[in-house]
Amino acid sequence: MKNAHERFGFAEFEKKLRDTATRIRITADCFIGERPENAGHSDGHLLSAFGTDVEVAALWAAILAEEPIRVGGQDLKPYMVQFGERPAVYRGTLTVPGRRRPVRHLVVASTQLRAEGDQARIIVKSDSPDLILRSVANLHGLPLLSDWSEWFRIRLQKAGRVRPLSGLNCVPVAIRGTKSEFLEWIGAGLKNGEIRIPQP
Amino acid sequence: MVLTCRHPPRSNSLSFNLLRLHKLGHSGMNRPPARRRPASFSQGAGAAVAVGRPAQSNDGAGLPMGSLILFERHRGPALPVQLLHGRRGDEMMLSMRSSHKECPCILNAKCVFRQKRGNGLLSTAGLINGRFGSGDRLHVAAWKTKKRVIRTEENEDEKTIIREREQFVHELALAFANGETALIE
Repeated sequence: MKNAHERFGFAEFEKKLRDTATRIRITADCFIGERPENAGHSDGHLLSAFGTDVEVAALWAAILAEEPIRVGGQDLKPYMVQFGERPAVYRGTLTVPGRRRPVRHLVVASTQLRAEGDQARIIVKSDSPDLILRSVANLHGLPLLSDWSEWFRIRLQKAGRVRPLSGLNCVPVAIRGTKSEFLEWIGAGLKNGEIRIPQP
Repeated sequence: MVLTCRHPPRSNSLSFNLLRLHKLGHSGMNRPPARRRPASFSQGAGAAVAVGRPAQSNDGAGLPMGSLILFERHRGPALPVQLLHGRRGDEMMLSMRSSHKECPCILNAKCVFRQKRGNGLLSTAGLINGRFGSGDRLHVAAWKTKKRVIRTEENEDEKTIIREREQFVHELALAFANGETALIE
């Protein structure tokens, strides 16, 4: 793929001490976070970035210390994010042929993305109806069929339960709703004939 | 059937001791069951009988230096892995000791999953999820496990004892063709 690097964004960490300032900037290929707020830092949910061993180690330490990180990229205006308490941070090594040193890969996932916090809010990487339906069905354990994806998306939007998030190389959305609510919708949809169960 | 034998405290290697059993003719791998049952050996379905001490929960997992206990069920070729395997149904114990990690037979342990209770196996396999029934009873089912924490607080002499008990429950959500929905726990 030509010019693949143009799709990349960046994750930047800056630490100012008394007389020195350290700035570390690594390349990010994916990011999901809340929309930028006027004041303060927004919540970040997912970050996938890569760089050298030292850069990734510094960013890893900053994230675990709950330091704010600036994230930006194409179609994403740079803004400050924090990943909150106990984010899951994974590091991997990518060996690139022709390069002397391996590239380190960092993935950060917030507790909310891992569905450990608020169960009534689900973060989905793409706004496609199929992915939304699958995510909601899997997380809540709902009796949903793949044929109902379009109906479910329209129902969510009508109820104002879909909220777009900021994303880099993705179109993330947050879905709000409880299991009992969604089950009620399914029951009403079947009763009204909006959806039907095909014979097995 | 369980075989119990005592060995000299020279080695704690399972494979070595098995070899010694072969030499002594006590393991009886290629013999019919009637011939490989010495009078001094005890019998029992998976029961553990230790020589000189009562059976313990870590029998076989941490092999004592002085008295090695071997267990055999005679379902297949008698290997050290099978001697240890399936007695307590807890293979997690095997790799906890470094001495076991050194034994290649244990590392090659065959994983046998035995369902103990409930429909966990069925549900995790996704066999409960999907469309079932016909006519008015046609429905879609979705299964999920839920973790519950039961928290109790007791006040005793200006002290508060907090107990948290974790439970995993099955939850089955159903949506019928006529619009009825149900949530079964």
